[in-house]
Amino acid sequence: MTAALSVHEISVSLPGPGGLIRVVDQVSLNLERGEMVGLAGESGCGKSMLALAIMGLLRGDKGHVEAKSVALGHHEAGPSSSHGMVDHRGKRIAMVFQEPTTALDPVFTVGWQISAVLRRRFNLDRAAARDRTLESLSDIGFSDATDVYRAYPHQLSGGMRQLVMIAMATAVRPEVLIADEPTTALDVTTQQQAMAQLRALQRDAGTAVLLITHDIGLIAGSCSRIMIMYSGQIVESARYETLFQKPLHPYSAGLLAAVPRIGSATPVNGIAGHVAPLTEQRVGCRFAERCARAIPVCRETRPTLLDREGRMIACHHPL
Amino acid sequence: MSVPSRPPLLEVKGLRASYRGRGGPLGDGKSAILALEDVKFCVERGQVLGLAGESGSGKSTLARLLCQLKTPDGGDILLDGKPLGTMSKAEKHEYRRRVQMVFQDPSTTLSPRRSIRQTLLEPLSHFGIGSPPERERMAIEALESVDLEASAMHRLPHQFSSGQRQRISIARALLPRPDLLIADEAVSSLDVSVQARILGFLNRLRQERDIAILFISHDLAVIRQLADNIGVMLRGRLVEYASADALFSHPAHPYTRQLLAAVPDPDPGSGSSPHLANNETALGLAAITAHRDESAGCRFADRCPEAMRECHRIRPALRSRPGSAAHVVECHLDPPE
Repeated sequence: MTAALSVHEISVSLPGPGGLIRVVDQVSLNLERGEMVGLAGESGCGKSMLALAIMGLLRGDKGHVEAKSVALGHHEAGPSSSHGMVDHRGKRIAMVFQEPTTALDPVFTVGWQISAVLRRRFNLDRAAARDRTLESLSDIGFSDATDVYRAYPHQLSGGMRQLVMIAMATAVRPEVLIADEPTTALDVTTQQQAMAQLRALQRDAGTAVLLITHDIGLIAGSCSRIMIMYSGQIVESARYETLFQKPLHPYSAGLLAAVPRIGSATPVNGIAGHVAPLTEQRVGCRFAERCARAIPVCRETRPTLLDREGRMIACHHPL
Repeated sequence: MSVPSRPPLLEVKGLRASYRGRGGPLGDGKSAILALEDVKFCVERGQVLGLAGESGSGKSTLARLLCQLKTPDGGDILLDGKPLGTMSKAEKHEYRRRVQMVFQDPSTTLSPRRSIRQTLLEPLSHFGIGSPPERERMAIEALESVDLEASAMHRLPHQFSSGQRQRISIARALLPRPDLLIADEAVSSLDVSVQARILGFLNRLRQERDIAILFISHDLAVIRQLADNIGVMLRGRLVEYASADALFSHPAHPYTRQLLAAVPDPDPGSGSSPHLANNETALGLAAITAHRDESAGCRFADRCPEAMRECHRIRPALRSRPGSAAHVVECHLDPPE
């Protein structure tokens, strides 16, 4: 069976002070139909850049994208193809952005914005688009969907705006949905609601979801697989249970240890240091300077992503 | 042991506050929205009180009242037993020095056009602390106490990451040597690794300086990292209050239990959200869309899976739980018969 989305060696370079800086480095991933996969890492690891690159939203001076292949089902839609993602966005692939305040247009009602996508992509007439919009708004849990339909973004709270973004994505029932920190701005109960909605989409429409988040707790509840990204590269990729029970990459272990647990008052630990700016060119593993397990070879050669015990890991000295 | 009792550092008594209603398709056109209703609690020196609740529960309104950014409609705020309402202008000035705030979003807290040095020196000159050269030294010490280098003084906020900016905000709040720090969702916008370091830092601060913290967050797992006592707020009311241990071992209010269940847990074996799939839709959303009603019953009745008829008609009173006077809860269902 063809994967819903398959990305082969995608890289993103941004113009920097000393030439192009590679912020996403040869990342490959596959999303099967109806699967939710988590992508975790700290801020500045390139998660959002990867998402924008897959969506084909980095064009011109926004960034230089290279990829061997980006395929939606059988359709090649990578940067080398003639139309890229243009024809597929809002229909076969959709994205929930992190910041709903800037993602929604302030001068149109939210209902108009959702139905505009439906009218353009599915050739629905005004009434049909309105019905489908109202349906997706009430599905996501708004008891007063008609009021929300008529509201301008500023009249909604941050949590409501984020739910509107999710409703917009669910209204088109895409084959692939990239959700970039979809619940970071939400409080826990609303977050639960939003996640339930994403899972419903995955279950009922068979949508493949890429869930980008720094909160591993969220991935645990929903995703079968997890990929850990650090400094533009995937450093570990495994089934979630496997990774939780025994993270192999020291960075994965650090991320897990930083999550506060409801069942325990044991103090959490942050990972020492911070993500090094990508402007600093380095040989060797980019995590080496923050890593307690670093050995000399870590500073000399960049580890590659290799299969180990049925999972992929890029580390010279795993746990 | 009978020591002449010293008043608590901060006491809040029967606090009420409201906002003017809003128009638009979602407004009900009514004049006032009650944001806080009869809230009371105490914070002792060196103690951390965690306040939990979802958006709209009145947590931030409470923080604003405590910082004198908003005037209450009723009730009293007492610092060392002295009501804010009876304080002279000079005493209020001193109150502002002693009660400092760290806000949620570090990128809007710091002025983008002022160097860190300007931001850090201002509270010192405002409160007349130290001579100019001493202020300079204190500002550098404050930066070092939050693990930043002295060279940060001459940089601008945009040159720092959000975690660093939040630490600068904390350094600024600590410079006037406050007795109470109010942290309103101070770590919720940060990613987990940075969040963990800020939490560790606040813990150290409490131990080293005997500073009290009012720690506001929607995430009980984060609160658990710091709090000695926890209050749970729901639509303007404090519906449960207990020591952290008691609240986590015996959560009494159904709302508290829902908040606990809503925290995602990284352990796949812990039975978190996917297994709740059938009833979870009953949670969250009512709070977002429901208009604030001033009905007589319990504020949680329309969302409560266990609500009885009584719950819709009679507002429950805040009562102590049997066998533990310090654990209070506002629920008809407690104690279970």
